[in-house]
Amino acid sequence: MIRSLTTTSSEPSNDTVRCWIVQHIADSFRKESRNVGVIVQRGKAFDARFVGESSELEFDDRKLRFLRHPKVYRNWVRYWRRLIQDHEREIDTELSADQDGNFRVIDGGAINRAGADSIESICEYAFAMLVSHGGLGEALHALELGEEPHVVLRESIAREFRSTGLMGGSQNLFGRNPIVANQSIIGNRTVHEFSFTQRHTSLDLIEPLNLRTTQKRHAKDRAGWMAYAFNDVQQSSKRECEIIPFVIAEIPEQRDEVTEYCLNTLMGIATVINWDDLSERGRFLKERQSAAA
Amino acid sequence: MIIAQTGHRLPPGDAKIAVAADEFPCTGTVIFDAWIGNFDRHRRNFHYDEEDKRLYLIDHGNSLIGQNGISRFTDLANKIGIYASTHDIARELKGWQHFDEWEGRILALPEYLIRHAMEAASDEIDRDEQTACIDFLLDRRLRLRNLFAEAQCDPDVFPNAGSPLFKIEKKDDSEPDYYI
Repeated sequence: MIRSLTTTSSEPSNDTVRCWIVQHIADSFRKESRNVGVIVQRGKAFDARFVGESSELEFDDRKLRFLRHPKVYRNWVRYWRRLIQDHEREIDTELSADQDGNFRVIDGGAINRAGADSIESICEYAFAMLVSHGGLGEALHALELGEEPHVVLRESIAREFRSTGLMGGSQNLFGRNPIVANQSIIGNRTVHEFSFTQRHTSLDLIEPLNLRTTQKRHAKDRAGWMAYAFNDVQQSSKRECEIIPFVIAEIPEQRDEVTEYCLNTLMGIATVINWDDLSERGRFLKERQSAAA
Repeated sequence: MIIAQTGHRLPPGDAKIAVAADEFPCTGTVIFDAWIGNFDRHRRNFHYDEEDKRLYLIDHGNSLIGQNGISRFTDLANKIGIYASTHDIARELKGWQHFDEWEGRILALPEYLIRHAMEAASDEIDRDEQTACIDFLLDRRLRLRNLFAEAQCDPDVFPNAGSPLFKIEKKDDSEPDYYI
C-alpha cells in the first residue's frame, strides 16, 4: 500500500484522513518542540496515539521520563481523548485553541491514498512516521513487514474491550466474567492459545482476522488455523460447556477471491463480526457486556 | 495550584466530570466565587485532576473590583453575581447538600486573614480599593445564604439544581450575625 503525507489541510471525508500532531515544548522560551502524539480523523471516526501509552490506554511512566511533569501530560492526553469522543465540540477549533502552553496541537496535514485501511492502522502509521524514532522504516514495518497483519487489529480490539471495561486485569478485578487475553485452551489433539476468551455459560473464543492485508497468503493460513483450532477445542471430550467461536474481521468492501475463501472456510464454524460495521461492532460489544455481568 | 508548582498550563476542565466525581469541592467553588464576585469560571479557568481527585482554580482576574473598579461592589450588592453561561461549575451543580459546610468555612475565616490577604495585594490595588474589598468580603459572607436562597432555583444560574434535595433556607434577619 502506498501512502503520502501532505501538508495541505482539507475537509475530512472518507477518502482523506486528517492528521494533527501533538507537540511538547519543554522550554517556552526556546520553543523547541518534540512530537509526542498523533490524532487522525477519517469522516466521523477518530483515533489517537500518544507516547507512553499502551494499547490498553494505560501509561508507562518509564517512557515519560523525558517530561519534567508527566502528570500534566497524562492530564492533557485524557483531555484530548475525551475531546475526540465528544462529537458536539468543534474539534478543529478546540485542538488549535491551546498554542502557548507546554503542549500544543498543530495541523499535520492530510494522509492521501489510505485505501480501505482502518482508522487504527492509519493512526499506527502516522505515529510511526511522525512521533516514534523508527520513522518510515517503522511505519512500513508496522503495516506490511510486521510480525503479522492482524496485530494492529488485535490491539484495536483490546483497546475497545479495555475502554468498555470488559477486559480482565489489574483495572478490572471484580468483573464476573471478564475477557482474558492470550489464554491457552486444551483441544482434542493439542493446546491452542487464543487472542481473547470469555467464560460465562459458554466458553467464547475470539480471534482477529485482517482480510484487508496485502499478505493474502497469511490471511488464508490464519483462517485455516482458526477453523482447525476452533474444531479441535469443540471436539475435546474434557469440555463441559459449549464452545462458541467468534472471528472479528476487517473485511474489504470489494471482496476478492481470498476474502471469499477465508469466509467460506470459517462458515458454520465461527460467527464472523465485521469490525468496520459500527452497528455490528456495537451489538457484539453489548453481548460481551451481558455475558460479563 | 498546580500551574504555579509546575509552570505548565493545564488542560481545560470538564465540569460534568468534576461534579459527577465529587460535588463537594464544586459546591465550594461556586460559593467561593459568589463570595468574591467572580463570574468567570469557564472551562479554561479550572481543572479537575482525575488522578489526585482535586479541583484546581485558575485566574481570578474578574473577581472583586475586576475591570470596573469599586463601583462593581454596588452592582453586586444584592446579586449572586454568577451566571450559568459563564460559570461552568454552577451550570452543572446538582444540589445544595454541601452548602452549610462551605458557608461555615467562609464564616470561620478570621477577619485578620482577609485583611492580610487584601493588604498583600497592595502592588495591584490602592489603599481605598483594599478597604473597599475588605468591607465587601466581610459584609458579603454574612449575606451568602440569602443570596443563594434566592438564586438556588434560578435556571439562568443553576439550571441543573432545580429540584434540590436540600433546600437553602433564608436567614432570619433578627438572628445575630456571627463571625470570628
